[in-house]
Amino acid sequence: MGDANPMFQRFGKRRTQQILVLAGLLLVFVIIHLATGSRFLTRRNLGIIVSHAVIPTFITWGLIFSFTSGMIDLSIGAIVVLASNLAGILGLKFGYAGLIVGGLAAGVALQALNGFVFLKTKIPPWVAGLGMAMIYESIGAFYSNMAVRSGGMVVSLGSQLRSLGQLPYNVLMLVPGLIAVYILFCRTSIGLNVRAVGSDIRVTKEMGIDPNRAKFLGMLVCGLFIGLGSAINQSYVGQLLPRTGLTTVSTIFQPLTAVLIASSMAAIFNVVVGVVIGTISLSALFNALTLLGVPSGTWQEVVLGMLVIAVTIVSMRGEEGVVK
Amino acid sequence: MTKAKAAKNSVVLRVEDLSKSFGPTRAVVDVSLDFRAGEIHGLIGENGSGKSTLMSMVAGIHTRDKGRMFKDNQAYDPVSPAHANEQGVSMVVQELGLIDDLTVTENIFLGKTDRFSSRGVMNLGKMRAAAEKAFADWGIAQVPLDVFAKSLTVEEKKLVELVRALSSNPDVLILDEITAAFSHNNRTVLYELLAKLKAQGKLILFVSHNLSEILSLCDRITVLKDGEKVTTLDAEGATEDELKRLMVGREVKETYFYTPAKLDKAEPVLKVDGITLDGVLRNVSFELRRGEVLGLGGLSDSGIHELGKVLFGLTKPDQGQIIFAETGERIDSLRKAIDTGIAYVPKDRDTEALMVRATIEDNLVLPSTDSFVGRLGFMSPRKRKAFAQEQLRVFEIKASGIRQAVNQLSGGNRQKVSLASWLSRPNKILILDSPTRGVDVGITANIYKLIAEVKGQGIGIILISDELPELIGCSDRILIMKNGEVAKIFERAEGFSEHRIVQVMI
Repeated sequence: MGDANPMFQRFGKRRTQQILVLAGLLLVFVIIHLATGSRFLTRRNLGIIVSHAVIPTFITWGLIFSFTSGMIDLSIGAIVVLASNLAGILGLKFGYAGLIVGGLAAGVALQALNGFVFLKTKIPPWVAGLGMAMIYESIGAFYSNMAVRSGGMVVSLGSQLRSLGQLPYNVLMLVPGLIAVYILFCRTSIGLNVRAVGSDIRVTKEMGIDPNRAKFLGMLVCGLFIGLGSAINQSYVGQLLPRTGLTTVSTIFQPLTAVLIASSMAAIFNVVVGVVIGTISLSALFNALTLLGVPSGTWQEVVLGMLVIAVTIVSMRGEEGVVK
Repeated sequence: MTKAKAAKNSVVLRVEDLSKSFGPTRAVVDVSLDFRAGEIHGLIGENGSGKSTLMSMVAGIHTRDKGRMFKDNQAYDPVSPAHANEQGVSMVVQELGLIDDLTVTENIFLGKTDRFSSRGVMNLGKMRAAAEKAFADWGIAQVPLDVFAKSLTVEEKKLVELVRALSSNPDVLILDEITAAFSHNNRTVLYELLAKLKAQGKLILFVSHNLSEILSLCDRITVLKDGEKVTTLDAEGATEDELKRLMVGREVKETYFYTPAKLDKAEPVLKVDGITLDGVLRNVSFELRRGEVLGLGGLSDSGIHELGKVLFGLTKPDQGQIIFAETGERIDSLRKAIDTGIAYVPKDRDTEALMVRATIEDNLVLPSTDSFVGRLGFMSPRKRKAFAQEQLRVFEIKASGIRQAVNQLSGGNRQKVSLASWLSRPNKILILDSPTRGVDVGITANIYKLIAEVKGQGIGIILISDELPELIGCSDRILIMKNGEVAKIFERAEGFSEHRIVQVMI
């Protein structure tokens, strides 16, 4: 029906929908602000919200490369622990360059190892990922025990190299990060092939694309962003203690929720931007819950769990094939 | 003969003793053929005759078990479709071949993005402009380039696949059942396009079940049966009856098994009142009567396929109502439609009608699971199995058994599974969207016979079709839609005229 075609209309509506979503978010923020006795939308609190969203944003940007191609990797949290510690060790020796290179090197190397294991063994990635998480957690524990035996502790930055994890530098890192992830995901054949493989492997193969290569490259890029996130994380916390018992797996839930939020809004916002909206919204949510006196570790986690389910439902009810 | 003419008629592609088996099934058996530049070569045969497998080997989708291929007198051995593409061979496959989560532009150039990239970064503007140009150059109606492929209709997806195949400017273009997805207007565009390509000396390998189309379009026709070549003949002088006899191995008469319905005495079974769906349907009203076949026809943007979904409760209209006349009950959901006794066989069988990875049994029993549940609430495996085996027999589904996965069946047999799963229920209204799409003449005749039988049982049938002869052959009335509105309802008593119907359509 000419211009009355629903697809033309849907495409034309995109900007309106973007404005509506952002306006809706703003409205929620205003309500929270009023509910928290005007403590939410203050300059300082907004800084905290955005600051807390930075590390999950980098990790989520990484996740979209692996998750989109169907590589559900549950060892990401364990990789962050190892990458943060290596970043700290090299950071103390070589300054910020060592901090960033250490994070990147560990992130890429461990994702490369995961990719190799997942693709060669053909074990479902989430199963293999659990196995790799146990191994990485154990490596962290070995390192921690070794450090204790030699009379020390795991690497701690003390007061050094802490600027990268603090305002305004951590937030400023989002800008080159956003540009890089947009280019890699939307404007290179790496991103295009990752999206193609995740959507329809048969057609992708017929187009002459090697699915395993596409998945492996996606995981390497994932490693880059996780590595960078780990470096910022080390700078932010100063010291990250290794954990065992698969406790690192829970680290993935917040970025996972952000991936789901971004996927559910894929028809409105580019996924890369959707991730930022997702992580900031989640950070704002936890901040609001804290301001409202909801205890963390229990009720806040309940809210996160409910949110994961709610967002998944919304995603599934949207356009077909949104949630992987 | 001039040099140009000689080049035009030269053999551009030759296959020798080509064979391919899938497990115990011999899909293609020792087929040898030569194809000439500047010809449209039709391939016909029943479902499962090996047409698509043969073409898939030429296009590098399947590797051959035996035999050789030559292109331009050089050994030709494509290892993938991309490899075939590099050597000038492109194919639009029978199934849908787009990636849902990529945009139209990305789909067109997937695997060929290097020419739009500088230092690894793609220039999306340049890529989009190239896609726009490709649609314009080939005279194909442009679909939105920035939307995800999943939001396109089957017809639009096929148009994109066609543009993708043409974008590499191939010497050999293989089209497998493409027109089955097209409405009248886009078929006309395609025919003009093929004539242009033929004039440029390209080879077009054209697979279709539409024999009149094959006869009017092709220069030569190859008939396949059970994976073997029956013959290759010139289209000039050939007749549809002759082609059918060669395909099936026996005489198949053109019949729609039409029996007149007594519409003046028939009560309405469904009342459709003022259905409006934003931008798609506008104030659509009509009645379906008991024991009537009401044909629904129109061009690609007429809304006929969307109306089918609305009537079955799959899409909720913005305005209007659908009433089951017997009880006066309003049908406002899919559940209500099924409970009322409405069955719907969608156009896109692979994504909407069937669970292609599941077994034939699972597909057949799904709409009727209630009838297999015993007193304790458990399903009886014995009843399920017996039911599925009975449907396999009644609908003559060619399969190794009910445990075979649907994606291992040919297109026509998949369609039989789709039909069987719904027709085996006690229905009061049947909505059939393009039931003979991609189905061979033998099965098509069976489907027409089935429609006549169902009609004889007093069931009201809505037959949505892009095939005018089918609408004219089967329907008691034909409702033509244009731009989402009812343009005219033709009564058989007035005499259906293809010319008049097309005039209303366009």
